[in-house]
Amino acid sequence: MVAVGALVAAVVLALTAEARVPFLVSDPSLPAVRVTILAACVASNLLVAWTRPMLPLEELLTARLGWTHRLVAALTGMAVPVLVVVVLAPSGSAVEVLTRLSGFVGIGLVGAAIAPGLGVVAPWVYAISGLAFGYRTTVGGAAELSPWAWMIGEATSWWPQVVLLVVGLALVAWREPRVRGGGLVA
Amino acid sequence: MTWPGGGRAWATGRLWWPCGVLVALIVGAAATRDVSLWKGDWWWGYDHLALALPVLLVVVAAAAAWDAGSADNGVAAWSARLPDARWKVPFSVIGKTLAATLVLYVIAVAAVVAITVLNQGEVRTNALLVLGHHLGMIGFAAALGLGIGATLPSLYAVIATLGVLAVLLLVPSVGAAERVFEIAGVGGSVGGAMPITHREVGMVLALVVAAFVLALVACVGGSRRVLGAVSVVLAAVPLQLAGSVMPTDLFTRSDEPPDRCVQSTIQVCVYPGYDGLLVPVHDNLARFLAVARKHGIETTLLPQVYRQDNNVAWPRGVGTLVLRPGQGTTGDPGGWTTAMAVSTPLWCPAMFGDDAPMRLLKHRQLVLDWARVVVGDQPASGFEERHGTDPESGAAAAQVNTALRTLQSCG
Repeated sequence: MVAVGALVAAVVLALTAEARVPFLVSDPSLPAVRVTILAACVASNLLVAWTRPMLPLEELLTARLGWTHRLVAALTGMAVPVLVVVVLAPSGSAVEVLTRLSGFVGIGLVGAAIAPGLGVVAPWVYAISGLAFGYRTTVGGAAELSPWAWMIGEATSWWPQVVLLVVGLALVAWREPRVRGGGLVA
Repeated sequence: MTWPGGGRAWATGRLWWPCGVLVALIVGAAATRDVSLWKGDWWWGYDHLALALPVLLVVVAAAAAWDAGSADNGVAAWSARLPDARWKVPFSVIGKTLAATLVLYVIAVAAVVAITVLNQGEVRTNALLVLGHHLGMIGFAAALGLGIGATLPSLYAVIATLGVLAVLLLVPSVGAAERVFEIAGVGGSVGGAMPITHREVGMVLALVVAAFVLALVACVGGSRRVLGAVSVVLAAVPLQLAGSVMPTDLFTRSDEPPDRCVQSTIQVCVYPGYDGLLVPVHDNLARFLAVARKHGIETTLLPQVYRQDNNVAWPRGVGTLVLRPGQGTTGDPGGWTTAMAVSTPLWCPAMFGDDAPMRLLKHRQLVLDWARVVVGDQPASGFEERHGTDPESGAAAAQVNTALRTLQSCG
């Protein structure tokens, strides 16, 4: 079920690449929010759920296997949504969408390595915090984005997100899932 | 009944204290941002605190959803423990989480109230409406998590809850240009403004109804997924309805003039909380008038009464002070405030029209530029380049007098 959900999320992510909604806070100096940010949070939730052992065995890609298997399974699991985005997204925006997705998935994976639920909540807390008070408004001037909220801004450089994703994947490989009566927990 | 994917509840788990600390840090960061710039403007302070609200909603909804869907402390477990008192189930499941969040928020608000009052600010009772609205949002977020967690296991419940919450927070409601949950920004102070009562009351009612519908699912009991889906849709109805019929503005002007005044040759009035600026602004204005008189400006053409901006047309001859927390509410407000106050004819209806009154603004620009040179905000060369005369000269004074006459008559 999560696999299907992740695929649907990838499709939504690709199709909403250019869409925007009004800003979270009423302030005309703040730019409209890209729907990509929200879609990427949902997509990252599903991808993290798929790759970290939080689900019943039959939904799992990374069962009790060695770290190479876990890593390969995680990468395979992520390859399909990436392909979907590359194919369906309007030309030119695929890179941007994938950059954001990798950043949020990275946050999710790092969170999931700490605690199961954190992997789902962490990307949202980051995104919503950034939208709520990442922008500094000045009297009569343009709004500036604080450095820590760079992922929700416009001109995002890609390498920090990729670093986050790599760190997250490394944690997937490193932490072996523990089995606790009845189901797997992270 | 087994709940695949249901983890241990957060409310009873090890994560409770770290999450609580994280939330407290976020609330604190939002509330104390720019704290050095804010002293007594109640709405400015509270709006800063309210920036933390979306994050709180996310955390509360996620915690409630996880708890409600969990195997050991979820809706199913509690329904089994209380078969004859199902109405107690919602409180048992999310009670601790909700209570802790509400307590945290109220403590933070109390701190903002304390700082406001200690700096001669004023908190009117209609602030309770906005506070009630925001507390209602927190309660609704918990109920959303509860309702969805009653029908889905923890992990799926959290993902679904956060998705729904994101839509409510960010996507414009059907039939309206604004979102269901509107959060006032911190773009400027709203001294002299007040929340629109019927809007706030309407939204609180909608939130209570929606939360009730969602909590009902937990009482009725249910791994019936259809029930969960239907309840979410039903709960969305009052919210969307409220979002589409309520006014989109959050604040309206209170029609109360600023009442903290100082009087000498001129009268200067500000709103509560800006008292620290009263004397510096007054001194700057008095000094400007003295210098202007020496240069040959007819000071009867300049305003003798100055009131803080309320986005309203003051009577003829009353100057408007634009004071924003970004300029600092104590200390030297800067020459810009003085220059704006003496040159902006907000007694002219044309200034509030749809099109900019170009002719009036041209005259206003002359006075503004001259005033800026006097207060030292702009070099004399800048004035010469724009208007062709030396600001110190009699010709410039004559130009300024003509402009002032035009501004007075709004012609």
